[in-house]
Amino acid sequence: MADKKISDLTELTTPAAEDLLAIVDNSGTPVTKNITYTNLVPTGTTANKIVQLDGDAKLPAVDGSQLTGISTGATTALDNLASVAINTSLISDTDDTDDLGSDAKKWKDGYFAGDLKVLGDIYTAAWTDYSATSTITGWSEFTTKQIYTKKIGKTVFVQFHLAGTSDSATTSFTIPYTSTQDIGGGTADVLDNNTWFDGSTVIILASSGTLVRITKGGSSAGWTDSGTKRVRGSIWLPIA
Amino acid sequence: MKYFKKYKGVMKDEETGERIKDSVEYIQRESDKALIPCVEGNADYQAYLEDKDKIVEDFDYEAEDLRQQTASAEKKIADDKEAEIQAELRKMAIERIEARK
Repeated sequence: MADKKISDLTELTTPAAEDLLAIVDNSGTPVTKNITYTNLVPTGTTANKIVQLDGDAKLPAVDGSQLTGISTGATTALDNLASVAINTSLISDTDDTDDLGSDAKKWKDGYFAGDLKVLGDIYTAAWTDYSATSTITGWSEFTTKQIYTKKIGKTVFVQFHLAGTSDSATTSFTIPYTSTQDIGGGTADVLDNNTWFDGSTVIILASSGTLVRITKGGSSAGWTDSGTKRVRGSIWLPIA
Repeated sequence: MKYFKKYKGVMKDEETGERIKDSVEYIQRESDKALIPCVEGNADYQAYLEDKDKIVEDFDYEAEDLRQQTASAEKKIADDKEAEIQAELRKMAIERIEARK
């Protein structure tokens, strides 16, 4: 049966409360038994009711625990998180891909009560060879010239290897960081005038200074100003 | 202040001893023989640029080679002399021990 309609009602009886469906003439009484969707469809948020949008066209509060197929990803701004503290692990959906912050948008402080496991490097400024910019005293020519620095926070590590023809009784080089403390320590492997030195060597860096001096036998001017000179060592310093 | 301009760079091949032209030009300060790369960011190079009374001369590589050869020869003579003295002292000690027997 298609395209049929009720155009006239006959055999009318008075509607009763137990009727499942009553078709009522609007001119008659009571009109509350007209066929309308509110009469036909039970709406609400309780059991066996159909959910109806509210006056702001929003879903009313319902139990959504059985919903499926809904994207659970958070936005970059995390503005779709509930306004409660995170009470579970913050875990990426993939491995070795997502970043926490960026060069332009850094987190401020970080607090960890446990361990911090880093499989990559940790640095503020990665290892860089400064030898092409450093003022170096003690050689007329080099066969090896390396002055590597690495900055982690307010600590700088320096590794150097300088070798070649000596032309000075002193040995020093500059670094691109200013020490906040007097430094006298470090370790160095020393060849002076083609002979390995067995005595003590000290690497000295003055507070507020950028000049690293390497002393031999307690004297900063104890080097031979000829022959092959080689110094190889490391030092670390605090910076502002 | 006086400086020497090192056009050929400061690197030398470890095997052949041949000078290698460095990508950076250097000057050498006469007072302490500090090698200063002519690059921005080096405070000593900035001081060199701002020194209105500076004297700049070409670095004399031949003189440097001669100085190195002389220093090396002098060291060899001193080492040989030392070895000779040590050998003589050893010989005298042995002779004394033999004389006591």
